[in-house]
Amino acid sequence: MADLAGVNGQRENFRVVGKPNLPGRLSYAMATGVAKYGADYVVPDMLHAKFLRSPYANAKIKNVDTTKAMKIPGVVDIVTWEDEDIKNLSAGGGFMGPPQPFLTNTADQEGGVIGVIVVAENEDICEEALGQLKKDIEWEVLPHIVDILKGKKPDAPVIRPPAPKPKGGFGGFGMGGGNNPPRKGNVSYSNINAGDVEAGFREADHIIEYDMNIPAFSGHIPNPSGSVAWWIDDTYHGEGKSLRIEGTPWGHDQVVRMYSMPAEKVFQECMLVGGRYCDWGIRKSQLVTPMLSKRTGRPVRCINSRYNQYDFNLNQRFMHLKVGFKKNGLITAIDDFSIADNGVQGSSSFGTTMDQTYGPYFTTRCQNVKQNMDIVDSNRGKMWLSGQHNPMNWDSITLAIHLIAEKLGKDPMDIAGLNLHGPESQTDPNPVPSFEACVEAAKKMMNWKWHNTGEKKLKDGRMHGASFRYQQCPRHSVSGYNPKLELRNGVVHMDSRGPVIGNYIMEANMMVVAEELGLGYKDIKGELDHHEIFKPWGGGSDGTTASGWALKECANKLKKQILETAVEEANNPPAPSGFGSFGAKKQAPNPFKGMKPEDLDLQDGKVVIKANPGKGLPLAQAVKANLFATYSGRPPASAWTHQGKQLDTMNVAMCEVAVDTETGEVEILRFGVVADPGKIMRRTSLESQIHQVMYFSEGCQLYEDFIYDEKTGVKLSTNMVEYKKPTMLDHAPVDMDLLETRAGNAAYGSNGISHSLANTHLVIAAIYNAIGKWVDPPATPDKVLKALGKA
Amino acid sequence: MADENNDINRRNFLKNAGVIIGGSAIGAAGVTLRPEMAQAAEAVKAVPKTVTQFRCPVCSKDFSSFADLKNHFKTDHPEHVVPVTTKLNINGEDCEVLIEPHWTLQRTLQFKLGLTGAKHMCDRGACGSCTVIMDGRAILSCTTLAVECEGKSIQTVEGIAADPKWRPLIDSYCKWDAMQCGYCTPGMLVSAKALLDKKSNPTEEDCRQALAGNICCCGTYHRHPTAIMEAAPKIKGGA
Amino acid sequence: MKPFNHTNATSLAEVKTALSDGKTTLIAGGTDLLGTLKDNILRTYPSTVINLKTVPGLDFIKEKDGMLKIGATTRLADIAANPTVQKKYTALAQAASRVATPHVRDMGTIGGNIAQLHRCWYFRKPENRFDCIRKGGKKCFAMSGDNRYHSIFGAANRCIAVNPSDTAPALIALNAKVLTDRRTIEAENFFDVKKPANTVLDKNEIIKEIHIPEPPKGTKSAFLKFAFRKSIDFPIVNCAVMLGGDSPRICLNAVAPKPYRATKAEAAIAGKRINEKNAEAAGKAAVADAKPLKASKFKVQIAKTLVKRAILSLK
Repeated sequence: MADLAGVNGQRENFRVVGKPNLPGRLSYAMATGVAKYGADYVVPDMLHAKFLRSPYANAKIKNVDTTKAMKIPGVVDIVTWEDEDIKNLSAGGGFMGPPQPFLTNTADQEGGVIGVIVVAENEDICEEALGQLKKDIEWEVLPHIVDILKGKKPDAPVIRPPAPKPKGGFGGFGMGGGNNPPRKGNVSYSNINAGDVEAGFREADHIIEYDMNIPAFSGHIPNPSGSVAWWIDDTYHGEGKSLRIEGTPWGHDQVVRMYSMPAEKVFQECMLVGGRYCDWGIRKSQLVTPMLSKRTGRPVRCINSRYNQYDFNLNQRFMHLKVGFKKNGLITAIDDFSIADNGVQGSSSFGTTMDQTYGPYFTTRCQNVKQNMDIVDSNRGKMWLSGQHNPMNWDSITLAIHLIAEKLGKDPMDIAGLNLHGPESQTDPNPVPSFEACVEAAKKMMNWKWHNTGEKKLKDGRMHGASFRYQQCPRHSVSGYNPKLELRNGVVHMDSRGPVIGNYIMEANMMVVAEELGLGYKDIKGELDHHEIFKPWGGGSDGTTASGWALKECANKLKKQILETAVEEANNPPAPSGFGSFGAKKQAPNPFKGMKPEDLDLQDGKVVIKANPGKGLPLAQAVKANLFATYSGRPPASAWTHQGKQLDTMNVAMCEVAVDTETGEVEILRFGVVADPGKIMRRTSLESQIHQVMYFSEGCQLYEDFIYDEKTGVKLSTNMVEYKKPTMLDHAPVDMDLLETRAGNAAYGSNGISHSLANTHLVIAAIYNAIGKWVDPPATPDKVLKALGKA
Repeated sequence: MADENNDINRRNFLKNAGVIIGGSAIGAAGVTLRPEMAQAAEAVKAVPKTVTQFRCPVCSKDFSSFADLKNHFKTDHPEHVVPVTTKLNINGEDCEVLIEPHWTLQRTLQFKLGLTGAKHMCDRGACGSCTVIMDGRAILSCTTLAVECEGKSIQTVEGIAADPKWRPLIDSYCKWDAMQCGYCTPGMLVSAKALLDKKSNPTEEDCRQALAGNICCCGTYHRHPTAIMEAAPKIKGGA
Repeated sequence: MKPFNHTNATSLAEVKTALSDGKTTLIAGGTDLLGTLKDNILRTYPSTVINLKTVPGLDFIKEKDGMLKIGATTRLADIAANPTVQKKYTALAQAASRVATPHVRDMGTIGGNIAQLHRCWYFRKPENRFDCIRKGGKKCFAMSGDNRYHSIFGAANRCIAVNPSDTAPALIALNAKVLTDRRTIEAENFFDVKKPANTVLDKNEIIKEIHIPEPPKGTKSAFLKFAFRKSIDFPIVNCAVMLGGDSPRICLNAVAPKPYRATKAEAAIAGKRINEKNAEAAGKAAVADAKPLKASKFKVQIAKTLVKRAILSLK
């Protein structure tokens, strides 16, 4: 509910927050090309390193003879998995399951790192050495699985032993609890039950069943992962050498830990992560360089090629749904079965069992939900999340609503509204004001005229289809935020450790600070330094609003200090500092003398008297002291507002398509998004978040495809011609309307967007509405034609 | 030791503490430049005019002349391709580099000339992030051999950024958040500038067609035509 | 990529001599060659690359002697933008304008576009991961693998990869000729399926010019391309037609290892009015001999539709 717990949550007038077109902190650096990413760094005397990549989907190196490769002129070092320096490193931990050896003689995906690292004077010599090594390796090629439906069969080869059970964290199965059957072959299980599904089906008037396939997709990160590292003599930050590394802004802490370095002796200037949307994976090329640099005594650069960057996926999942509903469309039971790709070793269970504790069903009134999952090990890649990187987004509910609407001859917007529970809980019978407002605005914006399946043909002969989905606008209050604000020589500093990913969280936070302190956006200095603690992050814009809340609280703490200090210094002027004070001219009398802090305010960069704002002093004059305020906490709601059981701010999305039934080509005529993020923080980036997720949605539903050669498990689409990110000419128009009901409880009643809007089936549902056929994403022309019986 | 592409000797890394939003520096002819544009201008000027370091790309030994380096190859790397020197004209400045013949222009710009605006995203000509302008055409530096560029005039994003004439384009890119992570942005901006060189008043379709070869993994597409069309009338003729 | 020596050639004779050593390869726009070298997908890697762009007299577009003459190193962007080509040799202008991206069109040449290698993902997988027929190996991996983009008209020399050129079918539809340093070849006869090349050119033979006869009065030509994305992508199917003269010319590409002259479609539309019914019949005739593999069956439908629509666009 509206930001009632914090200070000024109910603010009515905004000078800064909500304004569009305020450039980002690093925007000019990006536009002028002076911004440097890890792959850009060039350092004198630099060596280059490359990992050996497995040509097989599942393989072991039985032995390798490095003699010939070492003899190639320009090869400086070859490190194998048996080397002590490698054994002293480790990777993983946390989200990614238990820590694992950094490099082994095994690889469980084609193109995965295996066994050997070459260090040479340049990349070409590295490639030459790797070519030689491949001839001098005795390989053991193991059976592989790249088709999880085949991998789950009882006679499928078992591709690896079960992973050790983690000691906590997110790395394992069985998060759903319940009695999970024991693992069999490549398959593990997770079953959870809520309510009484059998009773729910008995109560139903109709039952529908449908299949849906959530696609694997990724390839988000445009800048190839990797780093440059070198060691420097540094007597100012403690004993021993300091480490300088560039290219690992997201994994800075991991480097500190891996190399057992004091944090103050690891320096990383580069704050630019690149386009790392839900491609959280730190690659080994970002972690290995300090070790190689130490070994060789020179800076070492290790950068992946584009081919190497298709190693992490949002995993594939096959779903079969059975949904019972009453004749008015109210859902009474949901039986959700899925077969999920568990990927290679070290994959995150965020993409499998973690999903089950907060799925999309909990936004409905139906409390009878059964979720069974078969989780299949594979050699497809490392998996992160499923369902467009947000489990709340499974379009299994979108499709249920669509099919119910079709069956009953009703509008899916109405079916959704009927099933949506109230703001407070699943048993709350009240409507959700934000949802109603979104739907009303959506109908207007889209000129919404729902038609049933296959009923509308356009003048040019193509079939028209439309679809609808909803979700809540959430906040990622998963972590606490620890901001710090300083007043230094009259200037407010908001220091953070970054890094910068492109969702402008830092800037949105600076806007909040400016708002609360009566300053302009340009007045706030945002320092970026890995030695700071405050991380302005959170999933997409979801985190923007949660960290914004913490900054709002922190800013008001600083404000209190400022006003108290202004009074104190008025009554007891501090001694002037430095020699320059001699002969300084006499200052006008301080207007705050004898006043109380509550009599004062901050406006337009000045400390002013509330009752007479014309009277005041510029901040630098009013307060000479250096002040700082910290805040630790988060807005009072857990992630995803109690996992879908509280609904305050909502969004709806629509899609219109035209299907050419002669060629199978699908054109998205437009997306429509009406979102109520409660309060818009940084308008331009909120709009860009919406553009971005609709771009992801169209990409995975029409173009992007992970294609494997079944026989060998080799990846066939790992380049930017075959893995098809939509181009400017493909990108669909996005009509947008933004509402501000102030109903959220992050800063000023705001919430985020991004994750909850990203989807895998909005376009698919529209295609279904057009031609009456389900086409799994990506709905490429070949699949559409096949569905139409023309191929 | 002296070398031509030494980032940590130059002050051209963006030390964030030094950048104030809205701040500026005075550039040539008293024109106000943003610090980043000034930094781009410095990078343009810092491109080494002649080859001062004759380092063997195979074994990293240093020699005092090109002739000595070539002799070294004769005796110590007889099977290996011999490096060459190539004259280039980058952002209006003549320079000479010592490279191997197979080096792409992108690699040369990054590793020899300190110009990292042309990015490595796909390195296969399928994404546009390495776009530069060569003799008036927007082309892909990752798919261009440096040794084939003698006598051609090449402009990189840094050269555009250093030219106050193009300030409105950079301003409008930043105003409209036509970047998220920023990695594809230089390539986009260069393609946009090449368009504006040909069409001073482009339509939305002109913009989309000109940027059709630039991939943005963050989905910023819609904001590029907006930024370009807003800047177009503000670009005044003459450099 | 692996190092190579490089020469900026100043004459065709120099190029010819250089190519004769069997270890030298020619570079024009470089938009195909450099990718193959970076990925190291050829059986033999050149020790020298010789630049054809520096040979004068190969970059031109002119109408002369009753024909359009285009130099081999003329950029595709220039061909697409040329008013004469747009007006009279329309299919070629349209084809050139649909190649890849604007950047590639400003680098790629017409000679390179018709001589380019095929785009099979087994052939193109880096480091010769699949040592296929076209590299001198024993097997076509696409035949038993993922062949959704491959030939719908069967194999040639046991390979089912398709010719991906956009300009090739336009040149064939326009009855063009390819002039090399030693002979003149009808565009239709220019293509072959070798290891790994896609043309009949001898080892040191060089394309000099393309000649296209001025289309007879009353004829019009058109080109359509079907690809998944509207930019960057190679064609799934493309189609060029020239109608209105004595005999129609219809050519498909990306459907077979060589450009496919749809003679049955030509017969079906010859002398007939351009309307929906006749165009549809021609489309069907164009694919009458198609024998797709299971995954590429959809290309038959697309080829059929493109022929129909290309014909109808000339109404």
